[in-house]
Amino acid sequence: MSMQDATTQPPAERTGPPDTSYYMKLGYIVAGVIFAAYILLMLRRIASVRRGS
Amino acid sequence: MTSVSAVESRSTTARPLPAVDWLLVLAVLAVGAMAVRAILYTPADAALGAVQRILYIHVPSAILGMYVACTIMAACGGLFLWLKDDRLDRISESAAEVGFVFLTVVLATGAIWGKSSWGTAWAWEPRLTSALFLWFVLLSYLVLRDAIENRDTRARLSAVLGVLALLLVPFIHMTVYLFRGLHPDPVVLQPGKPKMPPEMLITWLFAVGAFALLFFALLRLRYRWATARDARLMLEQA
Amino acid sequence: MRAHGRCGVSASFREPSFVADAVRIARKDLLIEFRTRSGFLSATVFAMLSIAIFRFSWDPTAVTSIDLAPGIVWVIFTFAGLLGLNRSFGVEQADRALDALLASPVSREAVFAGKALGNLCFVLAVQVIALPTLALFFGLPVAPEWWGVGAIALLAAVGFAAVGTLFAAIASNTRLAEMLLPMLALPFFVPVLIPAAQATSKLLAGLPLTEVIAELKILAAFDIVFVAACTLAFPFTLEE
Repeated sequence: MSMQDATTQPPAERTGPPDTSYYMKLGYIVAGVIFAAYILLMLRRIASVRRGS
Repeated sequence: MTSVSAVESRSTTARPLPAVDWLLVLAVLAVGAMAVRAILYTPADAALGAVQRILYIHVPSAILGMYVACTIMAACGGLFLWLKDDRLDRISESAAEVGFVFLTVVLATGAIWGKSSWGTAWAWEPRLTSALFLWFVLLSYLVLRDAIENRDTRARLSAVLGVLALLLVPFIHMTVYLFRGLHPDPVVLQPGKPKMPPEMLITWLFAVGAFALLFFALLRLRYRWATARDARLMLEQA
Repeated sequence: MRAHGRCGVSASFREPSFVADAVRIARKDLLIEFRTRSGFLSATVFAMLSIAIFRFSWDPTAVTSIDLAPGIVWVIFTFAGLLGLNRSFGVEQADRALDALLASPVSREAVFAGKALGNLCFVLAVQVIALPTLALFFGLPVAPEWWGVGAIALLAAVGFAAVGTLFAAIASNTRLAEMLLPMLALPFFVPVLIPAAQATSKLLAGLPLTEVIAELKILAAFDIVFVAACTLAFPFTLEE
């Protein structure tokens, strides 16, 4: 990840943006978990409606 | 017997739930591709670092959860009070629930962003505060629906709440702006001040498109489920 | 709506006056309130007790009472007001009195206006008792700026009563009536409470009335929009 930053943005190395990739990953994972949980909930609801009818 | 067959014909005219929702699959793939592009192929912000890439989730979710979902909920609620069509009520219900999920993502990513960039997970910042109050409004809308047994009463009362909620949004914005904010101003919607580099802009527009697709795919799925659920309830009551 | 239909049919029928009907309903509610006194007493006792308890939960040497008072007074108004709002449609549920009210030749908008007017009086009465109590317990100076605070309280109470009455009507139709009302209404009180608390705190700090124009504007706009919207929306909350 940090290698990618270094190759795409060489000046960033010197000015030194704080290394916040931990928060970035956390953000993507949390968002992914919330959406995945909702999709799972919908799949379960649909399965239960199908089973009943 | 006649009433049962009438109900059955109604439930079959409502399209049966498909085995695989291709729109949802497409939307999930698009969001996944957006995440790959954002993380691997889009430069990080020079001042904020990698965490800036959270905005590709945060901002589109905020637009869809706050504005699109609430507008659909209120518009269909208002139309329901006029036309008394069950389908409008189901769209309202679906928009509120999907909007609630998107706003949850907005609050979660906003807190992570705040922890990284401002040092605190929750700074009573105007836009985040409006999102929080709107989250509460949607939650109370869903709880209200849950607390009413009768279907017609439920549709009527929640439609009233939905319409009033849309009127509330501008007031919450005005109120929270009485406080000063630390939220970065929207960069994209300022014509003449192109602050965002083109690579970031393309990723950002891609993100908006992908999340819009996810929103409408979930909305459609939720609506279809509500139709199937109501049809089944009618069948059980008949 | 019913009333409009009738007065078109026969000219001899008493011309239903919106304001007179509303005042009559408000008077009925207040009369019930005055005769039983239970709601008003519990709300004022609640308000005074809360003021006393709040005072003890902060260290007076760490936080000055002038910083503390505005926030507290608006929190207390909200919860004392919610006590009254719950009763507003609760009394109509006994013996299905609401059905009788709706069967009378009074427009539903007038029923709403009457109910909201009754609630407004209730909230204002609680404020009239709670504000001096606050000034007494918190040792606030009695000064001309209290007129400004009174004006803010009046503006806030109007929006509070309109929105609160509508949500009380909605909540009375649900399984959870008393539990649900605060959850439904509190997000809608945000544009009333936050500007009111801010304006109160500025005025008590000795700033002139011109400093709170922004807050007053939001309160006035909220009153206009939501009094109109709630009056129009109320007929939809009743059984057809």
